[in-house]
Amino acid sequence: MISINIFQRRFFLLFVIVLLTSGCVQDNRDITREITVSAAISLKDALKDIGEEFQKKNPEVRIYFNFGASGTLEKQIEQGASVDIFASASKKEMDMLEEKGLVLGSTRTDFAKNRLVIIAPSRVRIEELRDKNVEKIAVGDPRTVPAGRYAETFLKNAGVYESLAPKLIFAENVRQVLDYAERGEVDAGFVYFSDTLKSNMTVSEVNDSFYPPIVYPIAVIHDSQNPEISKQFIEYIISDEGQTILRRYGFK
Amino acid sequence: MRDRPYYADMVSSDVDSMDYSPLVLSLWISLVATIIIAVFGTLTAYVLARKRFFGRTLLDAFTTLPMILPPTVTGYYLIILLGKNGIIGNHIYNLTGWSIMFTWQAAVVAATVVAIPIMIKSAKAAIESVDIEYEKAAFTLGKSEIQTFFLVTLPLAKRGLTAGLILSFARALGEFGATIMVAGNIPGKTSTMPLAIYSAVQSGEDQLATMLVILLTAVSIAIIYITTKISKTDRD
Repeated sequence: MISINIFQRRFFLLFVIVLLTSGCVQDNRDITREITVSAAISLKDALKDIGEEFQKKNPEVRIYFNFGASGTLEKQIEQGASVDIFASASKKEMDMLEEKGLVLGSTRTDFAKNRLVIIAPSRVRIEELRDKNVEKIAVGDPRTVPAGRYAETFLKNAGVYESLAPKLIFAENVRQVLDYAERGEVDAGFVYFSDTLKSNMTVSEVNDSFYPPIVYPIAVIHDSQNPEISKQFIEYIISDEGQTILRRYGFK
Repeated sequence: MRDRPYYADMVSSDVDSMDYSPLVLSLWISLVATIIIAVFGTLTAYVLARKRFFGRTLLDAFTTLPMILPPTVTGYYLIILLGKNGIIGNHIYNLTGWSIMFTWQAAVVAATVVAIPIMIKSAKAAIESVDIEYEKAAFTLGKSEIQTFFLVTLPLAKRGLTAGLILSFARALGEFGATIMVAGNIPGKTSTMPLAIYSAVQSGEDQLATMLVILLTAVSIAIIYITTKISKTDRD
């Protein structure tokens, strides 16, 4: 009995210590400001890099990223996700949020450009996608993935959509298209040029007059708890330093 | 339910591409999976319940694994096994030029693997509860093991087997994680009810989502109702 009592007392003491120290940690945290950035998954590597640089310069700031298809992220914000910044791979999603008053319109700015390419084991021309041996072509789901929408528009304007439609495999986001292609599960895929830099797949350029310009808008979310830091982060992204990093990852 | 305008123009363009509603797809995929489960699940359960052999515990653990693992983990294993460059998949592709990935058959495999442990568990318990003396009596009366299995063991274990099958069907119907990994989410081909609900919510088609959710709930209630009904008539 006694030993149990001692054990319990020790345990209680430990518990108190944990409680006290966790209080200390809590105090420190108040100085740290956190922001959450919901960003198109094509920006993943570039924005993580920019985020690290920004945190080095502003040690009190912690940036959390939520990467996904722009359409999915837009719906999350509509449903009240607590996010501070939204960076979309297409004008459409940002427009929808702006119309609903969910972003601070004054903070909205375009910060990057990209282009659509085909990835495949070897160089392909559009007409070759019709070949029998090309069985599966991955594109992002046009309902939520801007890259999929650009690809769809491109195929329609190139006049091959009807014949290629049965071959299309819809992916959750543009990085999944890349993954499907790299695993060899599909014979070709439509991704952004920036997605291909780390890939060993062959990149084939496509006629960029067949799809609208790919421009990335960014803005602070209306309900942001830290609008000032969010604005600073956006300013850093559009600064020379931020733009240099973006160019290094294949954006313009 | 066919509220998919971007997809509408590509359905009519090709005869090869089947287009089924998520409900029909779900029922079909779960049905095929349940038939496979009925055969292999019962067989495995019988072996586990009646045979003593080296590695029996291992087989028991292995067949339970998909019940414990997150379906995404099961899905990843299936990609490694069945993908175009997978351990088994690359041989299939080299022989036939066909890959199971992104087909409804892949959804059947995913549903089967994820749901079969439920069948094995309930069938094993049901077969174990059959008094072995009946089987021995059949043997003495000159029946072979296969005859005994079909004429004695199966009828006596019927209730547990039926319950196991219905629960497996229900699990197959709700399968999401492994399916989205190996079969993708292709409207009309592999977009089953759970997947269609997921995409509908993601793309903000709330009306479609509500409809599918009500439909799936109704089907599930029907399954529970039928299960209770069967176990009742059986007891009477």
